[in-house]
Amino acid sequence: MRPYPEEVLRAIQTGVVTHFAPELTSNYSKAQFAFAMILFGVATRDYDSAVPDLVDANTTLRALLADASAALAGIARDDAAAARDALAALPAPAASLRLSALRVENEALRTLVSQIAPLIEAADDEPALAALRPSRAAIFAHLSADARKRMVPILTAG
Amino acid sequence: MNEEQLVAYLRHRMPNVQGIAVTNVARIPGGASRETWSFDARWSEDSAGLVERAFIARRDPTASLLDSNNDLEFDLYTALAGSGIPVPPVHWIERDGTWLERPFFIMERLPGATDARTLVTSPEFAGVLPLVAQQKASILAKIHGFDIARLPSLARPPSAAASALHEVERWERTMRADTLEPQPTLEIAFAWLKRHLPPPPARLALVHGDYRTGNFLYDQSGITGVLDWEMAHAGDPIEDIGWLAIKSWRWAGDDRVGGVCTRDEFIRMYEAAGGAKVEPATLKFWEILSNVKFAIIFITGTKSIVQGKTPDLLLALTAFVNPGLEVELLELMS
Repeated sequence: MRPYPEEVLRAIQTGVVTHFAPELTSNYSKAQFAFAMILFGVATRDYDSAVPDLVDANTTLRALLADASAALAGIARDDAAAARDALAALPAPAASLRLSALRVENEALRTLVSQIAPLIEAADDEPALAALRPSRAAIFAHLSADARKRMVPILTAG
Repeated sequence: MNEEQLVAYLRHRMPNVQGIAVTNVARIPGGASRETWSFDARWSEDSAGLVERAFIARRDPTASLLDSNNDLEFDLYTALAGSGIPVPPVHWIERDGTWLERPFFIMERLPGATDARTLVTSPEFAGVLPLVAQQKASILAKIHGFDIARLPSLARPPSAAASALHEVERWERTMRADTLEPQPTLEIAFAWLKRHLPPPPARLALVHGDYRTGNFLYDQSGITGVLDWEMAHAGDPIEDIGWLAIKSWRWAGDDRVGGVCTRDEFIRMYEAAGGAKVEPATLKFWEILSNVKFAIIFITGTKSIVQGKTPDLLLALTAFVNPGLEVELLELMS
């Protein structure tokens, strides 16, 4: 997700220069410093796990989209046909394990999930889309698990 | 913002007073949509002698979580004075950077604190918490009863019937303009929202837009002021209840909305105070849209920090609130 770890580190560096040097004694600069410390922790965590997380996510998303495409084949509706067309050409797998390549693949796969979102959501209670219900549940489960990996406990209330 | 700048400005605004002095200039942490600065001032007047005042300056930021303008908030504070809705008196507004580099307005600093966690977790405030909950509900009913005809600058949907779809489309546009990456969970949420539009409200109401624990001042006497009106607009009053009910504001770590009382208790007190009837399906719609809105606010902040428009680390930090919002959305829609 954005911002990427290196973007976070750059933001922290900018923040340190801008805020902390002139007035580290003020409540405001102390707050900025606290934010920076949390962000350092996030960046460190994500930097280490970013590659395996993306590899896993891309593998899972490919399987989910393939299942959704198969389910769509049995639904005789124009929007289902259009969605199946969109899923017909999945993006090429990343050519390397570089984060940049894995992110391109991941964003392309998530774009496809976004494109079929109206059908996936409506499958919950539209009888004509009943074949998509297993895909709906599986995509929800994947998105939730993926989000949980990115959660920062101190920022999660309730 | 410094003492010299503020003294010069107060001299400009109060040319007939003498000996203006400004002390304790400090930026208040938070305020991700607008900078909030606190300062004290004193001066002499022929009629009143020595005068001492505590002020707040709300200044436009270099980049923000929200697109908003000072005029709306200034107009609201002006219009709400004397309405029974506790708001700080406002004094002056400046629409350019002549005095403090960017546009700003000046209002009085009311007594009390805003920190939500202290209110809901500190034994010091345990005794006043039921009163705060009651006031939170009754003040909201008053806000929703305010005549929006007195607020010409207030953004409003084409009609009450269009109010829900208007908000959905507004936030969808913002997401598409600001997101730097695909948002499948939010796309699914938008699809859900469009299929579950609630019945229109009886009439358009003044919606605060950010009515949560943390955006009102409190002390041992209860709520002393309602702040942060930059997201105010005309709409369905239940929108405010959906917003205050989201998991992110449950500061006590349990199911109490805003950390102050149960959802049912709040609704009962709000309706008893003259608020609109709260239908569960309508509330669920607005609770889901509130989580979506909150996530999109942070998407806008992410764009600002990634593009280097601001060094405010709060906007980087808040990006990491979104995974929790996504989990909550998926659970609400499951």
